[in-house]
Amino acid sequence: MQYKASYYTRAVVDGPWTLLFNGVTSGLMRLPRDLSDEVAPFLGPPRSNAAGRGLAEWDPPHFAVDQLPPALREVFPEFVRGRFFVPADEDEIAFLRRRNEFTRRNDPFLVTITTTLDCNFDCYYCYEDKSPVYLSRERCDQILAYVARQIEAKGHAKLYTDWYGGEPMLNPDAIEYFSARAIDFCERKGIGYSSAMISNGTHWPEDASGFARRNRLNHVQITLDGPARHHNARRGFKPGHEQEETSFDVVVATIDRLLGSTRIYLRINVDPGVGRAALELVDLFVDHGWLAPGARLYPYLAPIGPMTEHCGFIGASEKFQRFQDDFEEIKREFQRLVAAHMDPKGLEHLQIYPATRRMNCAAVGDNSVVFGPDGMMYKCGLDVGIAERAFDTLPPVNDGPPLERRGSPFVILKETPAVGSKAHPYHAYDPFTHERCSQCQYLPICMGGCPKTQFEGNDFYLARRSAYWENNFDDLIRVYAEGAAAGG
Amino acid sequence: MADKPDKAASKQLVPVRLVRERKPGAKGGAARLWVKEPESQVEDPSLLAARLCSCSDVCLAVIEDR
Repeated sequence: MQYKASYYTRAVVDGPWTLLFNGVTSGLMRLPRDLSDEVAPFLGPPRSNAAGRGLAEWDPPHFAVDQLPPALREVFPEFVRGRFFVPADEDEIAFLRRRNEFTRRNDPFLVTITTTLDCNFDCYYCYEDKSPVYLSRERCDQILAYVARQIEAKGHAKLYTDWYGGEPMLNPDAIEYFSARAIDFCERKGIGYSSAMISNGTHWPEDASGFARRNRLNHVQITLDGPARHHNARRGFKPGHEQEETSFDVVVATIDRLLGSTRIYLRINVDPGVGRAALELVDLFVDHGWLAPGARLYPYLAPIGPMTEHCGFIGASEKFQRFQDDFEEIKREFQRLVAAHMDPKGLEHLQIYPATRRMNCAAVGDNSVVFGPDGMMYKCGLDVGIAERAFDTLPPVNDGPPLERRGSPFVILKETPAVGSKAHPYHAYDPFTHERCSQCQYLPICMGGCPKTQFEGNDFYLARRSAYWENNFDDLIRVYAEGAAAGG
Repeated sequence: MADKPDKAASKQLVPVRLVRERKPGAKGGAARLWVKEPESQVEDPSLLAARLCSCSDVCLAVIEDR
């Protein structure tokens, strides 16, 4: 049999070592100089770090195993297992396409539930159009019935729920009500249940751990906007929602109470004003034991950007555009600081490693749905609240009591004819025919990124996508290898 | 209820070549080379991670289960 180097194998020099990565398997080897020298002639011509082109010109040498030097021949089966080398007649794009189609048809059953679009914050960059509609128990029953039908029809082995808002903890009753019934249903059916939540961390009960355990919260994502002086200026309580302590102190106290009972992803939003001050947080993490073994807290930086039309002004801001290069540098520094405290298992959760993506987003899979609090059904959480982006809606129910309880002047729109009129065709998303993605060496680890930004031509993100891999890939691999070596 | 993939679909989607699965540590001298073991390419729905998003810059969601 003849072999060739995979187009998705990339060699990264790291001091005396060569790190050999494959984007299809996520496999990473660290080769000593002698072995690296022996492998090099078979890896094909030297490749630049350019994204978005190259496959058409890719023409690595073909060889048989008995042509390899003895030392390389001995370990060659491992190189094949990692897909650093593939059979010479293999069409790698066809392989990735089949894997992507299989994943989209069989991806885990994932139900995102928006308990309300209401929020006790009023962040300047918010991407949602807030409304005081709250998920009612009747809606919960409808969603449960939908879940049961899907499980019966498709035989899912596990149900994943993701609580979303607004601030989902403004409506804990819906979470407790739904979770108890969903867990009971799954146990009776003999299938698994796991849940997660995206929360601002300021509306949790004293027994936060009990709430997490009772509702099977496998992980929670909480957000800080840098250190206290920046966070409180951006994520302060809006009038009528004030608490005794500052928003920053309340979030920190919530994390302290949750620590160890669930995995916590700590998103640190960074805008040009926060900048390098985000790095100051690492000391706080250490002081609070958040990076200690067993804490299971994983912080990461994210830029403030125009995620939806609602905050589109950010994309037009020169200040934000200019900040992007600085952000990448700050992010790299932050990753190094945090990775130094992590064991290899922790590193897996830090989102440093460019792992392979069988599909890029649950929105393009067959088995995920996002429910708005009013029963609208979406594919993407960023679309929630925009009826035109919904693909379907649950039948009307009497949503009266929750609204009356909160004294809202708003009326829930029942089946509006606009539903679905501007829904993105997530099911038809296809990076394999995309002019640049199909040619890109980073395709298996990127898959074109966020499909919503592709559909909407969101240049703020799209323009940076290729540059991100070109500027960061090699360093991401080195940071991971360094952390794994230190921890392992 | 056990997960039952669509058999016809699975048949159609058999990968070009399945790489034999091995247990880590069962590879003699090559084991020392791995920093991160490769992920299985076997098409088995139960091996698929629940992952909401892969682009944390844009999306708020970081859902995964592995």
